[in-house]
Amino acid sequence: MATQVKIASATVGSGGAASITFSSIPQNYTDLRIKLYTRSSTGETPGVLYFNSDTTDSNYYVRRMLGEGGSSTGSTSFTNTPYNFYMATTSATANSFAIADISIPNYTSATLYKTPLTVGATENNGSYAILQLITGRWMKSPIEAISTIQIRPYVAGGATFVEGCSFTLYGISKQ
Amino acid sequence: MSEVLTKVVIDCETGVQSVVELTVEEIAQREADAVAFAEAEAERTAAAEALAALKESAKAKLIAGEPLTEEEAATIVL
Repeated sequence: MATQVKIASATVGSGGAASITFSSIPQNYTDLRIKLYTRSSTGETPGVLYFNSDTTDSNYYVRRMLGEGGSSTGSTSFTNTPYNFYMATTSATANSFAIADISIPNYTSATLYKTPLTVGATENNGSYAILQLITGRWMKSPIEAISTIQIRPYVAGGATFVEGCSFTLYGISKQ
Repeated sequence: MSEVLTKVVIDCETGVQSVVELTVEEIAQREADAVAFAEAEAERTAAAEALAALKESAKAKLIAGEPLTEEEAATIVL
């Protein structure tokens, strides 16, 4: 049976934050899991995960499926853009946040690409909600174990995480 | 006075959490991201609009009993 252990967490204070970084991630788990509650300081929503300070977008790939109301956007591939989650925006009801649950299997592997899988929802606590299913791939060569994760908005207009956004990193051991 | 951008860094080994000002390089990266995002969104929007137009055309032709182009036929999910 798998066990889950909280490694670290952070909550954004007043003034907001341009990014959140988990560094010196222990290498003794099988998988990682990150739970995010996010809201952007602007009207734009995509957020990204960068691993081990690798901000070369061509090393990343994502495919997403979005569901809104009775319709869904079929699987859309994004190459060279690590959009791994979507945030609530300034148009959402005050103090409401988008949620995302990101799993990263085999994060210590030196032979497998890292493939974050996101299940999330963005809603404005009012008239709309969007479901998200996103799978990504970090393809840096040579392949590396993940020791650092940077989480930040990837948008125009200088977006930051607002006060109250929270990020929790868990380690999962398979027994 | 210009806004000072900060990042939160959590050392998972020690548990120490720091609030640090962004470096000049990190600020430049944010600005580069903004440009890349705008370009990617423009491409995505154009592709989505082109697909929607093909689907509408395919639908109209099916109703009218007219032949579809290969591109229009490819929008039909069977």
